[in-house]
Amino acid sequence: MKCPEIDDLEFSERGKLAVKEIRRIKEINQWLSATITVGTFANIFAGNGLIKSHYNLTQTDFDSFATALKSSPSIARKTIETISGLQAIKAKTSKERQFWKAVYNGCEAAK
Amino acid sequence: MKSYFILLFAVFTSVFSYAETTEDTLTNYLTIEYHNSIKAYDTKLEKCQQTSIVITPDDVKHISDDWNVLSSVLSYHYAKTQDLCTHDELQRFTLLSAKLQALKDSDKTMLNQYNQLIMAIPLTFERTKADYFILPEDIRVQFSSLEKLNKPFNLMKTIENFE
Repeated sequence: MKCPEIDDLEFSERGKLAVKEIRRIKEINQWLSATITVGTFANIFAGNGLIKSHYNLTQTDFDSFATALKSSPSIARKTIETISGLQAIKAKTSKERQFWKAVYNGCEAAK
Repeated sequence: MKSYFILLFAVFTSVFSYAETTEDTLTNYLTIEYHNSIKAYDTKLEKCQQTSIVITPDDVKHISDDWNVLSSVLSYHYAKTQDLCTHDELQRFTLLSAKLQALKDSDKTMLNQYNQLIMAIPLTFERTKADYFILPEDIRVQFSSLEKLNKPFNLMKTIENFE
């Protein structure tokens, strides 16, 4: 599994909404499954704070996200896949598309 | 007279406890069915997404080659076909959820959390309509008449075909 590093990733407004939605799913996921801890999702999906305009994502961020996703309940995984897949189509920049594709694929097909 | 009251009390107590047991059994039964419906929805989603059908630029270029239009069309039709594919399972989940909500002793926190989780996909599908329905009607009619767009298709492979 190869996770990408994305420098200066900028989210569109839709992209920010999708990040918020995944954060919410992560919280429900944690409630439903005590085995998933807060720190295992990528920082971008952690916390409730404002979504920043720019992110520099390291491979470690993605690796931890992919691991957390693998151990999530199947329905939560499919929900995150669906949101990220539809976001990949509507992405405004190639970096944003790369990010959503990596989330969708759990990094497996990240280019 | 005293034994009459004792008998009446015994009958009342047993009827009350029977009713309570019946209510518990109903809640337990519906909760099991509820979890089964989540599993069924999950399984059906998997099945609906596992398709080899892929949309290519050749399928749609006679209508439009504008990515802004195509991305809205592909998002909407993907969402619509997936929604239709999982319709029965989602309906069963919502019905069981509503029944459990109406029971006094059901676990409302659990129902709320699962409701938010399960409804995240249908709500994401609803959001695709905003971009699609601003397209001119004649364009929408032409896309809707394409047979390939009216069946579940592989989202990621389709995106890759347009890159």
